[in-house]
Amino acid sequence: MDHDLVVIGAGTAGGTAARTAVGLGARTAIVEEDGFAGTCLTRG
Amino acid sequence: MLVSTVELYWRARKSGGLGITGVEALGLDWGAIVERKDRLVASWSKGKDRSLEKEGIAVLRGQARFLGPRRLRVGEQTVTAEKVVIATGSAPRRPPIAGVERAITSDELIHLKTLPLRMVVVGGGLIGMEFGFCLARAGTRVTVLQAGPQVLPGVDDEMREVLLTIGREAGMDFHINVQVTRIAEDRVVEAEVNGAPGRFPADVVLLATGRPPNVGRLNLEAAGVELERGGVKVNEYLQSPTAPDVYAAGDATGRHQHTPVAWYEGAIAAENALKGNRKAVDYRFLPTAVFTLPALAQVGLTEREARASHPRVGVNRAPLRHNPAAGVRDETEGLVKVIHEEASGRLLGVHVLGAGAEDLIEIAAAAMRGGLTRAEVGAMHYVFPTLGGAIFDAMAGG
Repeated sequence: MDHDLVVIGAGTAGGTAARTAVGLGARTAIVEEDGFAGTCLTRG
Repeated sequence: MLVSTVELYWRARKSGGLGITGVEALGLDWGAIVERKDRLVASWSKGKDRSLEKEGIAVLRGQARFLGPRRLRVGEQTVTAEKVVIATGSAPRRPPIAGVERAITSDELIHLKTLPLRMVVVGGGLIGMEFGFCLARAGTRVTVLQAGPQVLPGVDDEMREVLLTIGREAGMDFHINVQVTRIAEDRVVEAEVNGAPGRFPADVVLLATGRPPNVGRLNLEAAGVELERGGVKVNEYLQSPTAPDVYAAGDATGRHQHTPVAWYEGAIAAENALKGNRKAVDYRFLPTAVFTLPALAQVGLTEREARASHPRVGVNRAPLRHNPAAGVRDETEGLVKVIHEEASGRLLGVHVLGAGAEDLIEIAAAAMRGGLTRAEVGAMHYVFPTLGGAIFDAMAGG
């Protein structure tokens, strides 16, 4: 496995989840849809 | 922020009765207000721009799609993980109404340079009611159209009625059971109201029909993740019951859409995912507020919920017109309502409508979290005169 935890979304909940995971010593990644900041995801 | 500036204006405008002169000449420079808001928001995000990478978090840029419960496609690469937390948030919805392109969402409303004379709000939830009250207090003629049988469906029935009365006194119109059929070229909103045709002319039509979770493009089927009410279905540990390696937090679950909940759930989801399901979410003491003018805040159960789940329930009220601080400030609209279990005195729910409600509710939330009974809070000391005194007076009352 590449990571212990992958967080999808770097908003309020995602940022807190990723920081919590790093604080617990986990190998953590966060996925951010560059340039969209998440808000346009549902337009499709 | 717009709300707080409009509140200041509104209070100043009605302060003639307090002996302040010249209030008729006061005006709002909406463009300047919006500019200041943009500057403040920009300064906050600058300060918050701490690099995730510096904190040891790998940042993967691209759109995520599940290939399996522990495998994701992000852009061109495949990523594997022991656990996944979905925190994709939500976005305003444009409902499939003819002429919907003639309407705007809250994202656009907060960038208007001038105030509209007439605004029709499609949607009587939190966002619709907040913007509706804000613009009504700023001088816009506001009509709120709600599809369901009541606006703000999550609030206490009695508090809603008092808020609606205050809104009507502010010149607002509220219509329920409205199906909007078309937004015409001249921005007349055409609708069926309880089955009869209705026409609502507007200069601005605001769509406030909710913010559904951003989960449509995640390919959740590949992970075996189920949806519930449009969001990721989770158990009390924020874990997907059908895909135990997947958790979700914040607006993506489509439940409590509030920033403090996103903080809270983000931390719990990560901890449970990594350490086993140690913490169950608990919203019993979650205070929330609707930033209408005045604001409506609550913690715990509504009276209807309390009566449905408890055999004997007591209700106490303290109208703000009996609160000396509210009288001094000439802000006597609203009330505090306290619901408790009769046998034990245990607090079940507290509701505050009026000036400072968003702060006052935190007193009640702390008391409930600490397990204090109604009588114990009612016997506490408090500063006189304060709006918060109304909380203690309501608890002390018969």
